[in-house]
Amino acid sequence: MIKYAQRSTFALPMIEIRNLIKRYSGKGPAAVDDLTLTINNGEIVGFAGLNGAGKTTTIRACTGIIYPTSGTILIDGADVVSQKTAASSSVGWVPELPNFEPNAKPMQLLKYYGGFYGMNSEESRTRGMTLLEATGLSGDTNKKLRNYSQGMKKRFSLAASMLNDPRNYFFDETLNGLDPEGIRYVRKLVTELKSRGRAILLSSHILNELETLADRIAIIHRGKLVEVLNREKIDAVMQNGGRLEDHFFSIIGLNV
Amino acid sequence: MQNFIYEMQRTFRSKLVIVMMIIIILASSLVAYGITGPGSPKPVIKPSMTHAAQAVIFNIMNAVFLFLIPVLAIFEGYIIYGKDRTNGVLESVVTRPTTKGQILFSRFFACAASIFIGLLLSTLIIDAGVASYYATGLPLSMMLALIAAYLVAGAAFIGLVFLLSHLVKSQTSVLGLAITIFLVMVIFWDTITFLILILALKLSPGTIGFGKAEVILSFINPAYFGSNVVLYATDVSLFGGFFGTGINPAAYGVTLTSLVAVGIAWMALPILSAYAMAKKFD
Repeated sequence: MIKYAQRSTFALPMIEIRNLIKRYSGKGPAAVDDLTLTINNGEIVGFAGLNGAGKTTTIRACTGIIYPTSGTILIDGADVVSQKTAASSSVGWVPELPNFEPNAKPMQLLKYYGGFYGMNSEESRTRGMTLLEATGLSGDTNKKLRNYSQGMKKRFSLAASMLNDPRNYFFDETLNGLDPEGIRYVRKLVTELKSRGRAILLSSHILNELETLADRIAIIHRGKLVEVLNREKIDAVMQNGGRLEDHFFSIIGLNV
Repeated sequence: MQNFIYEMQRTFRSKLVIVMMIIIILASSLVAYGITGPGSPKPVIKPSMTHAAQAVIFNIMNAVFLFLIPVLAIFEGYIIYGKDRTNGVLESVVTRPTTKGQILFSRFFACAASIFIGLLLSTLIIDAGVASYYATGLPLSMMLALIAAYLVAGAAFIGLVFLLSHLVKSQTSVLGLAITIFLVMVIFWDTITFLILILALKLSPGTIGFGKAEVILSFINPAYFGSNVVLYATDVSLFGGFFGTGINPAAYGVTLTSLVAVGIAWMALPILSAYAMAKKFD
């Protein structure tokens, strides 16, 4: 068991995706096709694409939920497939549609998750309470998760992702389903995590959010990474009233 | 490994697993009560335990476990793993510092352990009931054989539900298929095998060929694995007209080797197949 406070022993803390291919069936195109992307420490990489482009598949492969068909994913130098336990000890994941044991109360689940990081019940409770307060759920700790709204589940998911204070984060359409206060909280959180040197992959199809938050924006279309825009390029696109959205559609070849 | 043990302990301590054990023990207490309670004659001098009496008691226990263990194993497998797997709840656990294999096997072993403890305690309760009625209790070897047999059945059905949850996408499908398996393998198995033997294989009831075929069909159904173990342990056929007469189990293909081989296969194959499915298709 990896003690959460002693997290990583790897020299290169970051997310490295090398030549990732994921096929769900032998027939048809790959959901993710030869994707290579690195997210450095203290960097927010926006991950943009249409629905079904391969954003969620990439994130699910990075978090160990699905296995890559081929390619390598390293988290802080640990392979997600062959060194899953080490890799997952420094990963926080917020899914697009959070799904938790409906009959559990938030603190019960946080204590359960904490056990995987070597946290005892008291440590998990203290840390969990801090996170539930930060995410605005401290008044709802006696409710079962089945009584939480989708936005509350997403807030809880944010709290659960930060339980072990990981070095790497995968936010999958995290802003969807949040109220304006929640959206503002996530914006602040992502910026704060960046300032603390965390590597963040932020998936969204809301390009306005990415253009303000991200250091780079990776555009994925039909499973392929078609362009990675750095900050200079993003600024250049937006110069003279230009819109990132127009650039996005021109890159993926769609005339909407 | 520590996270494997952590997950196993947590599963084992869950309310459902404890309730499952209590149900097995309560059912066996009813059996013991049936054997020794007010309904049964109370001799002044305790009768000695005969071979035939042992066979009858083992058949009663077998009949109870034959129904009880598959239904509890299926329910446990569904609640502990199948439901979480198909509704996506397991994903929030998989992203923690653990592996799919650790989650799958830790939950499997916790469920199997609960079946084992339930069987062990219930057998001891029945033995105590028998000992209060007869001069002696049940032979230890037979009790261990029955526990092992139904541990195999329980593990097989838990493994089958785990496997189903990797083959179909929805909770309803897993539950529906699990209930279908229960109906086919437990409730209607006697009828199905009888029709197969009579109509398809043209075998006559009471013949050695019929008995052999029935044993083979019992080997391909984990619920009836216990029947073959009892046949081996008591040397008395469980099937129809043979009941109560001493026969040679080896003549029907029931040997220690065949029982161990089939038992290991039923315990291991469903859960290993579930693991292989998780590795290949996730």
